[in-house]
Amino acid sequence: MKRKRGGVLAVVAAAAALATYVGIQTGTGGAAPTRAGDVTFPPASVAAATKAALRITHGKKLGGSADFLGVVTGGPADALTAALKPFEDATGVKVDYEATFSQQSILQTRIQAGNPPDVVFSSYPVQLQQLARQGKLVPLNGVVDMTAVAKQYPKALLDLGTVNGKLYAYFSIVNYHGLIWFNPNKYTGPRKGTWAQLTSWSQGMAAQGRTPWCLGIESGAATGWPAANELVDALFVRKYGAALATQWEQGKLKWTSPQVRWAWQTFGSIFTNPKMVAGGAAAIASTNFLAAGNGLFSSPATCFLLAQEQWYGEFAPALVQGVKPTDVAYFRFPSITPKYKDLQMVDGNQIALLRNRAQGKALVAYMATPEFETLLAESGQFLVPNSSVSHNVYPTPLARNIAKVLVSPRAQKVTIMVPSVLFPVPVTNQFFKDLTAYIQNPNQLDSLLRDMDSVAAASR
Amino acid sequence: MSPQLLDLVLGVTLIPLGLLAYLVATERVVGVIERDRHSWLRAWVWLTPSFVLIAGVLIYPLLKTLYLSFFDASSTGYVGLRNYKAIFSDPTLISVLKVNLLWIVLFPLGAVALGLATALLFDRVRYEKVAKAIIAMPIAVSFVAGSVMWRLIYTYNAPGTEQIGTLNAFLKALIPGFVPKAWLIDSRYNNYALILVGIWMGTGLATLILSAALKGVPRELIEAARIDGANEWHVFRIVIFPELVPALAVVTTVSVIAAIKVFDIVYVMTGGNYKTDVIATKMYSEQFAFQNTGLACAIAIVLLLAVTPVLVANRGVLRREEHA
Amino acid sequence: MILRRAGLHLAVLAICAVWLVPTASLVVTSLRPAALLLTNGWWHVLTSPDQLTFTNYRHVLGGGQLGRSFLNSLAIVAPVTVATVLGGAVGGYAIAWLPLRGDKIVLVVLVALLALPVQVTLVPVLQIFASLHLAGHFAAAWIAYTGYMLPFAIFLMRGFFRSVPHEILEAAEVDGATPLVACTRIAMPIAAPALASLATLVFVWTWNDLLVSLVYVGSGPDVAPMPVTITNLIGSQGQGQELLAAGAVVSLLLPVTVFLALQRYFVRGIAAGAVKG
Repeated sequence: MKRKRGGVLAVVAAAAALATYVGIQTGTGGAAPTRAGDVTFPPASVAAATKAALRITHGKKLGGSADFLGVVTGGPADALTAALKPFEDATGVKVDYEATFSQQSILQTRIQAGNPPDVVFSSYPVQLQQLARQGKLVPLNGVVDMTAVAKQYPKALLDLGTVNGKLYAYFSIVNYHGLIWFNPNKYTGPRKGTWAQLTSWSQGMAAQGRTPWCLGIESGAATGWPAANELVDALFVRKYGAALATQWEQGKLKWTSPQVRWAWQTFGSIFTNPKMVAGGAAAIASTNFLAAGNGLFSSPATCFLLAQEQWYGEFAPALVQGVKPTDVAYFRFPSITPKYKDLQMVDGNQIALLRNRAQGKALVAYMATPEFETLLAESGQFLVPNSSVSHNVYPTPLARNIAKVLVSPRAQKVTIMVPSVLFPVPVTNQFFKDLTAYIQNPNQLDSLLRDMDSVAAASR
Repeated sequence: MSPQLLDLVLGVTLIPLGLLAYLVATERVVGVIERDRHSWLRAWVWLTPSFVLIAGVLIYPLLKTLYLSFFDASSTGYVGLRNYKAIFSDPTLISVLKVNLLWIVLFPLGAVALGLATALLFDRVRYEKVAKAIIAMPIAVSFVAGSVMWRLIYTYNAPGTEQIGTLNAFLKALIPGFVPKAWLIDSRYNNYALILVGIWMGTGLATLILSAALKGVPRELIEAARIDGANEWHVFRIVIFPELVPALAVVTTVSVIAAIKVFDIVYVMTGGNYKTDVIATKMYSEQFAFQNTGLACAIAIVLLLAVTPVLVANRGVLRREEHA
Repeated sequence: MILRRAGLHLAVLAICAVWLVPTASLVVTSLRPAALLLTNGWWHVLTSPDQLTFTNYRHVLGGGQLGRSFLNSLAIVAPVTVATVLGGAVGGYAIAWLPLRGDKIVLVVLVALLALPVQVTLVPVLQIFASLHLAGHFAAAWIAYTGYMLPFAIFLMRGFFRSVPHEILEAAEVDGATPLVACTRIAMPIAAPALASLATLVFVWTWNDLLVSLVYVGSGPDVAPMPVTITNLIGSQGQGQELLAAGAVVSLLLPVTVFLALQRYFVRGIAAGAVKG
């Protein structure tokens, strides 16, 4: 059946052939391409990781494959797959890492359709708890080295992956929240102390006509999260502590309560005031969170303080023209109620097992080991909560500092999860949306909080 | 040979061979069963492979969706018409319907009007082919690429700072005292901004179809009318337009259906936030964020029902064609 | 008169220039270093062209994943195009010219199905694939994409075939040709332009689709097509926009080439298919 005519077909065929040739040349070539080619680890760490993998399978080569669905993409994904290579080499298991932003919805779809992956790397603790309760996850008690895990990972984080006394998920990578970033060359305010001190400095700046704070919350469908995770959550935790935060997460403390209201209002006292934040409401909502801190480095600086996670310090030099690593520094979120001043808030991604297959079990066990976590740390792409990983393995001074703070012996007691991550997913999404709306319409605070209450009630 | 190439070769060869074998084999059987060549069995047999695929991939899910729309969020409790009632009474959902209405009116209007205008204008220049290629090229652009492009255009920066977004920078250079606008965040503009993206992506098809139809208008008629002294508007209205009606009908139908089920543009650019939610994005968030399967299914059915007027109009066209 | 001609050309050129802006901005952005993306607008390359660089392309093409994805995309899209065009041709011919009771209803159902949102089909269809052990394989994508596009394909080809004068086919049948022969030897060659148009559309739409491949085939490196891979160029914190731009341009090249090369068939093919409805 003729479908196309002569000359044009030749052109198209030639183009396709050329493209295919290029594709073959760059794409195939025997085994998996060195997509993780940029990532190299110290040979000693690789050897240690290989040994750890061998210990898990008792030296046996399992062969086969494991389907690993995860939310980590881009450069970090390359580091992750490189860190999995010692496991693949030692056990002969081919790990098929599938990365996607839509991990939450894809996971849901695949489970509902009876086609779950072996292992999942998820950023939604609440979704995993639900799945555990529904019996869709395999308990890890016989899979990972429980004594080691209990010793090396913060209890609060392990508790989040524990349902009915059994462990179903553990945190493999974390982000440190509630850090305030500044440019040491331009910032003249307090670098420790109380929130009240920071606020009075900010008001002083505002009086001089210079906006002290930067904020950018644009993030596609998740717009609003920096205001929630870094600010409202931090304010609440610093003022009211972990126990009350847990009540808030579980829906026992209402959004219209004076405590939650206080957190929103305190946030609003700064960020709905165009004198206190660069650009005002419209800029906040439409500035991408990655560009939010640009004002720290401009001449003259248009803002001086940015609340953001630990990775910002590494990103700023890459994101903004002319910024050097020495231009950016942080201090931890200032104290409000003295007895809560050391609480550190993190979120992160958990590993969970969905199918009871040998390959998946070995993979989950391998990823819990300090040797694997060391590789992740050495890549410079991740912060790991495993206390057996020395902070010296991180590649930059900034990362080493934060790691030291994170896994210090007291860390077991003071590490908690960022509250917004622990609400039911619809509540978290609504939180981001309503907070974004609040920034633009501060007088709607009460109706927005009532809206949050109704969404929270509906989601139980 | 790599596994992908193998699959490629297998797919491209086995499918036509398989279909041909199927047709030849069934032809023998049908030939035997029906003496009279003009039987309707043959038509159904030829359509069967397609219908099997369509049934599995479209009709079965449709029936399942219809069924689940009468149940609750976890699909365990029967709730009758509650989900449907919610759609027409919940104010959030009603505003979503309003946004879709905006799309249904403006998108076809924009695409068809621009398509017609460009078809008519380009017809009169020698470099018509190049111009049409430029207008139609967005068809080949994926939503991922398109969203990157249009973000670059709509980016907002606070007044007084460097404008990185093309539109803001352009308007600032053109209009003195222009205050940059947050095109995607500000609910006064964002729906129009998104519809503009849709029009950019969809006009090309309208231009190609209408241009082809335009070429089908007999030149003699146009020349005759011009010689008779009719002005351009007259020529268009009396001679050209009637010949374009069928093509216009097709383009409008396709545009309206696209506007009803628009999803990617909205999802990728704003996620449905700031009052840009449309039926399809709402359905997606009900299913995955709120995990309310029943409501999501009901919304999908409503979306389908919204297409009925289009179907009715099409039946009219078909009937007219029959009598032609 | 000259003024009118000048005005006409101005209008045409202005429209074309505006239309090209989005694409131009993407291509230029892909050639800029990452640090400049958030600093100033892409048109600054006009004043300082020395900022152009191929770094992003080097990052995106090195490592081979994009090359593999290209092959994956080809392996998915080519069979789908073949299947959809053939199915549409045979089906469209059947509805147009073979006697068929209830053909109007069939047509209305097909048009209705055009409006069905893909998302509702994901779980039920994935269930079917999972039970057939097809999930994660290209065959799942072949079946799914073909099924999704067949209503449009049949609708379009039926419209085209209705415009073919019936006398040609009747003459063939008088000469003793079976309907199958009449279809393949006579109708198909006539339909070549329409088939080319359909093939172009199906190729381009399937090549650019993200959601369906993501769900049925997954994002494993052995099977991920280009849209999946380039979306994943963005890291977990949203870094990598410059890589996304470069990846998007690479992904654009083949569909745009195919589209431009076959665009002239649109005129002939779509004309008959669309004009007669």
